[in-house]
Amino acid sequence: MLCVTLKQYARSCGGVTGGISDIAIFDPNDLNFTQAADVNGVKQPYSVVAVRAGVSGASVFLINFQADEGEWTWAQSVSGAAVKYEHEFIFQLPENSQNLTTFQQALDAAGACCGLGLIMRMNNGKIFIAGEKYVNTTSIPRFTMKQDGSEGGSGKLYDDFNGGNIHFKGSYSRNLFEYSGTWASIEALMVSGS
Amino acid sequence: MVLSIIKQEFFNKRVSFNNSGARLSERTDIDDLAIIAIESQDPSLLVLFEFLPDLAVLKKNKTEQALKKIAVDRLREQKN
Repeated sequence: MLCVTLKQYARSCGGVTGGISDIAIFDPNDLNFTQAADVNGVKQPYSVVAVRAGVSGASVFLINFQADEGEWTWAQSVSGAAVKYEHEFIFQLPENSQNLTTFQQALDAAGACCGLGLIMRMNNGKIFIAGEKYVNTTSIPRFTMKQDGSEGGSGKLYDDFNGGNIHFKGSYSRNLFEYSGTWASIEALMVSGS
Repeated sequence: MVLSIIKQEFFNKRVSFNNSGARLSERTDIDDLAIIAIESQDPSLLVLFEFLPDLAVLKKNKTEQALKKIAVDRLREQKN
């Protein structure tokens, strides 16, 4: 404590399940996340998600990716005192189609200006937020997630994969914050008229 | 018993927290949102309330409600 305030890492005993259950995307300008004040210098999870004034229609969009084919990876690096966390989301979307093409066009458009927000529920129930812009009504330093490195194809055989592997990438100054509410509360934002 | 009051103009607003994103007029856990609003000082939440009790009052009420529920659940278990 003479130089820096450290903290322990402890978790309750029990197994941990891997993998991603659900992914949803949003326009970072549409949502505000509420975060309580630090407790003993420790950042708190987001506890409320609300649509910002002026937004109409659904604000969160579910991505129906192929089951068991979604993954989030992160890598921390440091140069001197400069810390970087590189985040990547990879998920598989079956079937090359007009639907997939236009979905990717929307992702590219978002990546070109406003970035993409992601809400991810892991198989163990934890929900993480990436690409958020507004916290406690104030805009935070830019956290840009965008489609980068997606690839796909038709396959050659009947049982080869036909579709795309979508990659979202972005770098930030920290790892992702959790959202302490449930996925049911996020699903409410997928309804038009939220 | 709910202590805080939402402004009428925000009755139809959906705010996602706890286990629901229902419209504020349909929520029974508004006091939880009130506690979050005070602890975070998020202006977009504070503006939702017509009446916002003190944080200590809200937390005391929440504790009392939880204790009542525990007592009622125990009585039900004993009856069964």
